[in-house]
Amino acid sequence: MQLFRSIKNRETMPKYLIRVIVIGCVLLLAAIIYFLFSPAESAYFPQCPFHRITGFDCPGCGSQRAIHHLLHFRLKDAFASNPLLILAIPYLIIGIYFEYFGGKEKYPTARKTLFGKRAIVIVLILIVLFWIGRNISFS
Amino acid sequence: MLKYYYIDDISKLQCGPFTSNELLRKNISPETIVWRSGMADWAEAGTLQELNFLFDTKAPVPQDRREEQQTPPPIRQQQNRQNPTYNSGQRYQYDDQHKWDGIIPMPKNWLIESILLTIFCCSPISLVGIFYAVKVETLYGKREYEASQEASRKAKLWTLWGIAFLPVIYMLLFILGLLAALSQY
Repeated sequence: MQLFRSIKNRETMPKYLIRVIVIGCVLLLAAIIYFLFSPAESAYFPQCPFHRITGFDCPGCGSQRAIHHLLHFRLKDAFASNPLLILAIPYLIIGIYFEYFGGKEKYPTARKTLFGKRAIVIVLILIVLFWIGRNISFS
Repeated sequence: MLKYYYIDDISKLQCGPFTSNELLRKNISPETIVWRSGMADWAEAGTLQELNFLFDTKAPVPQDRREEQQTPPPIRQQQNRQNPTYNSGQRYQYDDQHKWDGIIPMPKNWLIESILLTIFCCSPISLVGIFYAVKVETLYGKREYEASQEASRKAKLWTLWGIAFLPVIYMLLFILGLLAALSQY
């Protein structure tokens, strides 16, 4: 039992190393794919099922094009493809740090401000408004 | 000599007092909730440096500290909180809510995962996950810990359903497309 505990303890020493490697590899692979191929021109990228069925845009429509433009530093085109995605990226980076890399234990008050109840309600309303808004203006 | 109390992981029973050497023979994991005199509140054993020797056989067993650090824990009267040491052996229960304040961590609210799936993966179903994330926070704020955990479970379900939903829809579309192509001949 003692031996098992000590092994378990040693494993936690490089605390977030495995997470950093896994997330880094996935991001790098995705970035290479989305840099090399344009989702607007290639047939191999999955199309949004919501858009396919209803004809309306969902909150995530255009995100693949937006990522492709972003990787080529065409911020304007990226913003035109999916503005919500561009705005969400910094929020999500902070969120992943808080959720998976010890941020919520380190800064509990900041977590409450950024990801507490009020913040989540605002996020939910923003996404729904964006969803409705983009279908009204473009239809 | 410092005496430690801990809450058994399985029975949720408060045990103690024990000296740090006696703790070696108890079933203490880094996640076990521990309190000793002088501490403001209960904490996980893994976060206390002085208890590191319990989890690492190489570390030397520390000398027990002097008497002067022994002060009773503060009684939080605003929260009707009872002094944890005065009722040793008492069973901890969910309905005795205030005892769990600061002990039970907030359940995972799945917010980040829901947003990621909604915006990056075209999965509007994951939006329901964000709705439940609000519930997790609200119920945790009301100290309804069990209901909060239930909301967390639902948030996870809806968020993950968002991923499962995509391949299912693609398969359906593929089959429909195939049928449409076949019917033309």
